[in-house]
Amino acid sequence: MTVSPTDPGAASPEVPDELQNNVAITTIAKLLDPIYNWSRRNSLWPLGFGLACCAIEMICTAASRFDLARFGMEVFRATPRQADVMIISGTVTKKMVPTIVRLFNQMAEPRYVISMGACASGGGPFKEGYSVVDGIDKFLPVDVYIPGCPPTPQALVNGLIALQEKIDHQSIATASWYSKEDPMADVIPVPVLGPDLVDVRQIDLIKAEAAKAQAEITEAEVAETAV
Amino acid sequence: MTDTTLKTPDTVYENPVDEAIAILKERYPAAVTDDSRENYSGVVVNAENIVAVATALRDELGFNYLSSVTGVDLIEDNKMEVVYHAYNIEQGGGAVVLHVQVDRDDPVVPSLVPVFPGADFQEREAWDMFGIRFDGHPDLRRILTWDEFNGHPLRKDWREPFYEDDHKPFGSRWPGGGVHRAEEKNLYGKNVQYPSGWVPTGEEYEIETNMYEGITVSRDGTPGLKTDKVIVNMGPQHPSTHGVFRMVVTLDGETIVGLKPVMGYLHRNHEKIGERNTFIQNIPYTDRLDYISSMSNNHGYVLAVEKLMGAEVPERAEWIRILMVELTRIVNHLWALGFLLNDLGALQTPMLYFYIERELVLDFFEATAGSRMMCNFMRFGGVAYDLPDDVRGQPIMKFLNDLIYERIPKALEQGDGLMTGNEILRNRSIGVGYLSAEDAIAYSAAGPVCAPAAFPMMCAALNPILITNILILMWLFATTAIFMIASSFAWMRCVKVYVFWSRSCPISKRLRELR
Ligand code: SF4
Repeated sequence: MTVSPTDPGAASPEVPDELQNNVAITTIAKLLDPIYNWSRRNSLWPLGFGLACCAIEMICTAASRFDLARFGMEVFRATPRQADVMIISGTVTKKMVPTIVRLFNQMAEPRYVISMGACASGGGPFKEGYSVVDGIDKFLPVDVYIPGCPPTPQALVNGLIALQEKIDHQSIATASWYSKEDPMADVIPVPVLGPDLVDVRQIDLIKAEAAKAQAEITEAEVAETAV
Repeated sequence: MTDTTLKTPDTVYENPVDEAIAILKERYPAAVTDDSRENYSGVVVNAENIVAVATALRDELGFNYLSSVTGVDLIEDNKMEVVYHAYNIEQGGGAVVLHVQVDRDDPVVPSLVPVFPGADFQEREAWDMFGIRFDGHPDLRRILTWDEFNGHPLRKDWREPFYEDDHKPFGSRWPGGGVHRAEEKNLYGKNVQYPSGWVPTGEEYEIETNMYEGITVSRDGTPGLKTDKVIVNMGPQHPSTHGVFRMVVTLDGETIVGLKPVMGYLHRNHEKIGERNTFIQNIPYTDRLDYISSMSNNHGYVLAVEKLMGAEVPERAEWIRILMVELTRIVNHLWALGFLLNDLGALQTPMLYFYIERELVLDFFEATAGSRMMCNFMRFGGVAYDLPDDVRGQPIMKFLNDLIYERIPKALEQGDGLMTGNEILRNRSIGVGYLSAEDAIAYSAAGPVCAPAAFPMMCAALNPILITNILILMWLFATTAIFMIASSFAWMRCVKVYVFWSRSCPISKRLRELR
């Protein structure tokens, strides 16, 4: 007997009517999910890296007064291979973003990204500058945004709790990291540093623009020779 | 000065700076002239003679400390200017300021690295930001941006991708009140721009050949022949950088024999944004310069603007400022101690000890300025708010007295007990990374970096701007530093001396009187 995981609560037509209220039909996923999620939500290990001012507040949050250990999150890992959540704590510069994307790609699934503070979420006070990325979500999939400049430790804890709630609603059955589809689908192409930051996904657009500019130049030249 | 031929007779100079300038003008009459522009100090030097002038300044006149090399874009005159500030460490006093002006279209200045090795990074920065080339520089690469970056951002005619206007408030926002997202106006939906006609290939930037150039790995110095030295890349994500800093280190066994620092991972273009801002809009940006000492940064900036304005600060505000700045300094030093241990391998735990008092100071900041870290507290001519009546439910004076006279000294005592006798710490720090006083001066090291090297290079000591207490403090710092032999212990000592000073310091008493 199978019940579609997308519709686990629907009564199965194969159960006789008189037994409908006496038999609970569930899936392995539905049984396992709470246990699986409970263990994951309470041992979220962050990647230990700080980017700017927000990192200082992140460190404070981990220290004794605010004590992330209460949530099982105090184990800051130095390597992305062992980390579950990446807290983008500060200003993301163009020079730094290739490294960040590479670190994200190195993290094992399930992995989460928290964008801490105004800078990580949208460039913050430095958005107008030439060397700053206007929001890490231009490159990475962000799970939780935390406003503030810097967010207080309480706000960060609140953001982490929001992430826990998000995890509570995930299911083994639908989790993308167990699906048989292309395992490389979640890998983000690492941006490169050219005359400015180059998002590899936009290469075609950039090339088209270059061709357009080239055409304009040739046109101008032709017009000049004609004169 | 023994060499009388260098002196202009019959003239008595008020200070060594004037004297040095007079001597230079006499020595190089064709090359050194007064800066005739209004409100400018110092002399204009011909580009060809700058090395000779700098050498004379260092060797004969004692101005042996080059504190800054800066570029200036004089776009109206179609010139680029390089400004040098040199100080005399032994005598103290102000700076001799040298201006070198060159053609804006092809700015080339001889490099001062052979004279002042500390000019190295600063010249690279001037190259990166202004496109001024320094002839003879050993490694003239970009420093804050990356090698392929297009243009020199601090030139006045260079425009960033999200450029709107030359000055704020932008016409589109005020007084009309239009709001838009800058991304909507950018073709790529991001903060990027490419030179017209540039075609990407996407691969050539992966390998940083430039970075590894000039590093030899062979023992006898033959380039390319690999013996037993190893090049290791460290950072920008590394637990002991706790920020974004990268080092390319050359290892011989377990000893670091060479190191190339790579920075710019946190280059947030304060300068370009500051150019567009109004004066007061810059105050919150100064918070974020060195984000562990936001109050001190605020203070430096408002002092400079007040000097320009000729503004006076009421006495109470001045005392509040000093209280804030000094508490900031304690916080900063505590943090430094905690992280010193962190970097020496005692990950995280020791930091917790130094962090407790920091939280209390931050509580006070939050109650006063509204924010724990980014206080945005100082204003031109004063401070944003008066002190609050209570902090964490306690009357403010009680809270402060407790903190300053009880808790912080105790914390220091505890830290001293943990650190000073600690054998591991001693083994890992005494004599490691030794910086002699001569090297520190030659490399333009400043502040705490040179405290262990036993000489007092504190900008404030050279440029007295604060109430005299600060100068006494500086003196204490300096004299303690002289007795330091090992690098990291200077930190501990400095903080202790500092706390002794603050115990006897009249700040809280004076504040009470003024209330
Ligand atoms: S959001 Fe504010 S506090 Fe955080 S990194 Fe950006 S400027 Fe610093």
